Amino acid sequence: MSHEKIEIKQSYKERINDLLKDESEIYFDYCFRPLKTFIRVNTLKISVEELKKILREKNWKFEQPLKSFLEAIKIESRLSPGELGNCKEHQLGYYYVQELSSMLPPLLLNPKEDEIIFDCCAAPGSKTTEVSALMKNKGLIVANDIKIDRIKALTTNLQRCGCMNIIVTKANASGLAFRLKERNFYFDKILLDAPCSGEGTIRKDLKTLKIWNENMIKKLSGNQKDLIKNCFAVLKKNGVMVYSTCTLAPEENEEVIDFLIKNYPTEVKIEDVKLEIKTRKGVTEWRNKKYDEQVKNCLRIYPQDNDCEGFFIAKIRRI
Amino acid sequence: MEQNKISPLNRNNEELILDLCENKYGFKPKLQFFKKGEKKIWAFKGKISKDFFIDINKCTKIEIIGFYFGFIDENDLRLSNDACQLFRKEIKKNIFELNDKQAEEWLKGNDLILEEKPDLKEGYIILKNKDELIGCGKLTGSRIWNYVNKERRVR
Repeated sequence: MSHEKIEIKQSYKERINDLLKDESEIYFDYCFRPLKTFIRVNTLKISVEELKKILREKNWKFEQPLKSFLEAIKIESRLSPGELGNCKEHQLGYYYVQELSSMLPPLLLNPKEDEIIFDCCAAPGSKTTEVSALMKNKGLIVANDIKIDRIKALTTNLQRCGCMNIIVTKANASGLAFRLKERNFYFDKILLDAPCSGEGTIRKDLKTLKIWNENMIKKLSGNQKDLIKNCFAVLKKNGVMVYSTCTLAPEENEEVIDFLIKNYPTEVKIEDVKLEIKTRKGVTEWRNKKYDEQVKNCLRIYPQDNDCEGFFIAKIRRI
Repeated sequence: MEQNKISPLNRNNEELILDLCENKYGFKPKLQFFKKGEKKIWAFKGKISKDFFIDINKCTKIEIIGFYFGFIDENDLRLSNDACQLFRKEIKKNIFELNDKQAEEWLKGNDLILEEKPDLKEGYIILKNKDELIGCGKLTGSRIWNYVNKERRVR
């Protein structure tokens, strides 16, 4: 993992200054700090206590940062490069190397054992395997992705983790949702972890800063609106959709939620939810655009607040 | 492309799989089985109706259903390594215990050459290390052939 200083584009600096004001300096400071290492215990193959025993035998120091989700483990020991992904316990699927923020959308989705879930953009499968574990390998997850190389990574991870309650499909999620709706098929819950500009993942890969540009955000925002509108159409009444991205750009987050509210004005409720880590409210204004007041209920997770990746999560109920 | 199509296993083949699981390995899993090609068996545990399977097949191609359970090889069943791990508390028969060094070699993807021929029938056997079932290999004489995928090998 490279942490050399690279030049931050002026337009990105301006956006973060607009978003975070006097906190932008500390935000950029965190962007260049090494990311902490987290794993999630895969309870389909091993219990939390059993894995903790193994980790202790390996002399790895660790802590469990979330009282409500003991599967999340922060590795405190300094491991050699590749050690985490190349040891026996990883190959046997006992844990998934997954950033803390990325564990949160499935927790808000709160899938139940008898439900049918649509995971629209599932690869490489960190959240899909988590949802499968939360469902104890029961119910059904339709895990979809559009790219075959990403599906290969997804299926490898599903197999490694022992997920048996999943159908993997390769399709444009919007198109698939449209065809399912034509056949009157609806889901209890939907996870839409949308492809995004990845601003929140800068700490993992500084390349994100190099390829970042404002045109990309506009294009992604259009795709995300298309995805959320079509996928919401196959959500059952009283069903829950969790929309998440690993970016901080309001165009890819609150603006997408605002778009959904405007398209389904009487059917969308953005739930006011709490998490165990520090979160901030969604922004209701961004660069001369005003969003629906409900977007305040969305959650923003900043690197400087929890020493993790940046994330955005909205819990949406169809009323 | 027909060989890559996933379809539910017919009753006879499902019975064959369950008999092999029970008679050879001593467990009877409660799963729905599917085949991909002629020999690869996939297992689904959850809620899926025949109608939904048909519906979703009409909407898009199903790449995978459930979990790669095993491979039918001339009326013998090679369980996938992950199936061995998942059903480790239920599998009771045809188990060969490896020492730590052998387990390490196995996870690296190497065949195992044993000093003595084990007291097990030739064919597919389950490999155990401590409390873990770490895979399924083919015993021929004093050699156990390795089937750990390249991408899953410990380097």
